[in-house]
Amino acid sequence: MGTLKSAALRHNPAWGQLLGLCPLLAVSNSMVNALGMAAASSFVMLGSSFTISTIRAWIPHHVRLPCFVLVIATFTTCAVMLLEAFAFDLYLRIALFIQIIVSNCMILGRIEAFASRQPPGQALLDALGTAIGFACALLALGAVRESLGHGTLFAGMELLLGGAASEWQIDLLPEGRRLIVALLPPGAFIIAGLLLGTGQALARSDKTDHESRETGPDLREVEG
Amino acid sequence: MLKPLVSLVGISLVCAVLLATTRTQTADSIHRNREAQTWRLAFDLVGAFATTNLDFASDVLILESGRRLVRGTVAGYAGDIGLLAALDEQQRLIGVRVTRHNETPGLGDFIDVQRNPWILQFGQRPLASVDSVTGATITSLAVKRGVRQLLAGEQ
Repeated sequence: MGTLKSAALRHNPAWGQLLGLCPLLAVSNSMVNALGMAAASSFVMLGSSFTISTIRAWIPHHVRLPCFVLVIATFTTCAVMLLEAFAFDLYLRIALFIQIIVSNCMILGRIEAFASRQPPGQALLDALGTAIGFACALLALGAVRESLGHGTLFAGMELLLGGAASEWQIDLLPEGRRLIVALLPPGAFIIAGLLLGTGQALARSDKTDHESRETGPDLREVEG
Repeated sequence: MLKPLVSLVGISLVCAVLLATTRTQTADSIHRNREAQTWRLAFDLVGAFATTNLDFASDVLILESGRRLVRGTVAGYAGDIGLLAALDEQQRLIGVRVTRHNETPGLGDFIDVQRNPWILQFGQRPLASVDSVTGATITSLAVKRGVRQLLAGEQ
């Protein structure tokens, strides 16, 4: 349980370690894109963490990086194929970004720092925590950007979740009062910065946080 | 020296099996989705047409109106770019759409009509005066080359 919590909160990939920012900023312009990216990243994160952890005894130390990248690339390719087969409209919108999950340093970082040194159970928990943390960051950013930029929330969810979700759309802002900059890359940086600042302020005010006194090696040092 | 090699080969094999399994499970759906997408784009180019034959014979489809749809691929900056062109009765270009591509997100993806109206230039002005895009020279030129090839194949 500690592993899960630590990975999702203290070592939150986006807000704690500032990893994986490219996909985070690129596809968080709406909730449905964010959710698709979160699902694909989680799939790759869990699959490759578990696989690497299972075969870690057979990976020679000095060729570990090619092995990690090979496994990550395999799961990413599988994710792309699954998306193209079962959520084609979403595939057309975010496939280009799904493909670059391969180079997401969040995944490689967690595998190098954790999954390649721990048994599969622990590695799965850590991967789950990291995936949840990344998903929360994506969805938070997606919610803010979509509600400010498009004036809606949950628009187009049927692309991912099927017909029933087409009624989920909530209209918040009328046309003309929307903040287009929220949808553009600069807006992504500004909003991500504001969310990051808020998170840091909250974490700092919470002095009784036991997580900060957790023992064990600080994994952040390994990741550079 | 041998151990890393054996490990790498072993892991590659495991990955290959995983990929092959996923591929066989998804190939049919992917093919159907791509065909449906091609037909949506074709509809976009030439309007409604009556055919129930959802299969291009040798990548050319002649419609009742005398118009024809031609499709093909051209090597882009990152893998093949799938192109669909519509020609009128006199073999003049009506328009072009990109059916699939892997160009760089944010740089080369302007060829997708959903992201950028760039592709709409084809058919509206002579091929030679279609603008190229700075920063994506290879992508722009590849699309133009592909269209030229499709036209040459038809004339």
